[in-house]
Amino acid sequence: MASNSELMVRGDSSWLSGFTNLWNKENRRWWGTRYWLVQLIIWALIINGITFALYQLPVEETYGSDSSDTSVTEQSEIELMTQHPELIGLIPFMRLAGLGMVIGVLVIAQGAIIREKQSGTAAWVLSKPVARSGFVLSKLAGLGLGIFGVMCVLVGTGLYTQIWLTTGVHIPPLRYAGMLGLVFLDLLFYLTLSIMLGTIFNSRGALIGIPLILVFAYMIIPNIPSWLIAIMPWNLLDDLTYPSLALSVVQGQPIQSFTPIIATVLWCIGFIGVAIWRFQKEEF
Amino acid sequence: MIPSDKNLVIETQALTKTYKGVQALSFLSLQVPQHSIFGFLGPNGAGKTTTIKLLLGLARPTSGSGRVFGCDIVKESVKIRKRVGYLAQDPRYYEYMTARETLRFTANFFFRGPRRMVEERITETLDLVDLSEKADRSIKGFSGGERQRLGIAQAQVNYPDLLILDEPAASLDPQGRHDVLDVMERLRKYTTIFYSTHILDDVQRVSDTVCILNKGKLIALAPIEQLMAGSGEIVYQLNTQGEINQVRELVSGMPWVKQVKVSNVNGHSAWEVSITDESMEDQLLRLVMSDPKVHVKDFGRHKQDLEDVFLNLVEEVEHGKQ
Repeated sequence: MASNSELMVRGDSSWLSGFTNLWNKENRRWWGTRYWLVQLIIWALIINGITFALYQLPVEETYGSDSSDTSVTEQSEIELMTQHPELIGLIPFMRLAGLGMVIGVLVIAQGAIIREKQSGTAAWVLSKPVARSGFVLSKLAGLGLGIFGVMCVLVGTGLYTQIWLTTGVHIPPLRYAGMLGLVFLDLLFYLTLSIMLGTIFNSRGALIGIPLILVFAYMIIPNIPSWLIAIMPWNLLDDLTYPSLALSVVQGQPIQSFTPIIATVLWCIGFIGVAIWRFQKEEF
Repeated sequence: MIPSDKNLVIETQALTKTYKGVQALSFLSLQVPQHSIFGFLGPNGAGKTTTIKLLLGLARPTSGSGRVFGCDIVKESVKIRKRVGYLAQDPRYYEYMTARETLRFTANFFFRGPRRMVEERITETLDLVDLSEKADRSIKGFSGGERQRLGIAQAQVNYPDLLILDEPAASLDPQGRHDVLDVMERLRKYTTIFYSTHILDDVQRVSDTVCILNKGKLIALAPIEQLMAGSGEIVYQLNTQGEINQVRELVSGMPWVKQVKVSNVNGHSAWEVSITDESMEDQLLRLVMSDPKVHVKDFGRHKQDLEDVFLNLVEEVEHGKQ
């Protein structure tokens, strides 16, 4: 038997102990299997499919009303779309990212912690030299990278190419990347929330239900206070107190408020902090 | 004799765990010497798995303390787990992985490389548990015995200084049990083995130190020979035919005889004679045979097995309570 001294023994016993190995496992699950391809096909079909359909229709049909009299707002929207045809693809993408992709993230992330707690694999992994913070962060990093890679980079690149080929408009890449960054920040909010809830609850119902309430809250609660809108991620992709921040970025307009961006970043850090704290207390 | 602190791998002091008001473990103080095969014995629900989880940091003690390799089980859990291999009672792995991938994943928690040597270690460990031929199959299709052997392999892949096995043979058929105990015996020269079981025969076969736990409480902790010797009582068993009343009185009257118990079994008389002096063995036999009406069919010293010890101890504790 070769002794351990002949091997390079991992020395750290820090709060990140086991992270690299677990993150590699998560990455292999995404990128070492067809999982990423399946996700890419699903989102490309939805995003590029809808964008393709919208570019086939006349602008008046998409943004005008059924009646012959169009309102002033509709008229100005039609004018805007005619002047900036790239928005025909970008605005639905942001709406879909704020709703469809968020639901996708919740479905992907809902089992991340709970499944491992219930199946017993978490207990097995944690019987190795793994810090609990390393376990939680590996989930965040693995899922975060997968979601960023597929939903933002690959799908985003596909949309960019489609808009360019269809309209001939070449959106400045940095502005487009800034928009994708805000899309990712919105998805990250729900990912971290889902991970946190996975450490608190043992039921998948709560894991899906609570974030969904947050997704739809600003649509269903009448007269929602502006301070609440300011500290939630809703204004990142949708027009609320301010025009959609992502839209402002991609159009090169000044961002009217950084509060939703800062607040969302703080929420993400808070959710992960609570997740780590809660997971430290978990008994197996 | 329990060795000095330097040679202790595990040491707990009044370790207690309560789950929702129910005391799963009560003031457990135990010491596990280095290079021993330490049998942690007790019926289901005795608190064996709870103790193991506390030692590994998978659960937190309600009170008391514990040290493994001198490290605190609460504050230095990761450090402890670097030197430990653990097989759970009902081991669960990632079903999509093969046995080799499972061992590679496990080994990567301990080693950074070199890759070739890590792969050699994995192959070596697969050989140890006879899983080489199934190494590249998904573990989804593994039988209970194969899973258990994989469990031992993943616990052993880092050549731990302490191997903790929770009921390693419980779900196995006799052949599987035999194989697992064989592996344990092969490993004893390299590591300390702390294993829990409720199968008394296994403990008797491989353990050198035994701890008996019942309802969360420690009821015995001693080297197995010491435990098997029990109270030191010398008991002889005889099987006779014929009229025994006269010779029974004669034997009972001897100063070195403590107690005589006789029961009728299928027309034979089954004797249990408890004596104070081992050297009187021949004397006892001659005395019984001296009566012409009595025919001795069988004679020998009663050997206490672990089951007797276990049952006696549990019974004593139960009666002590009442």
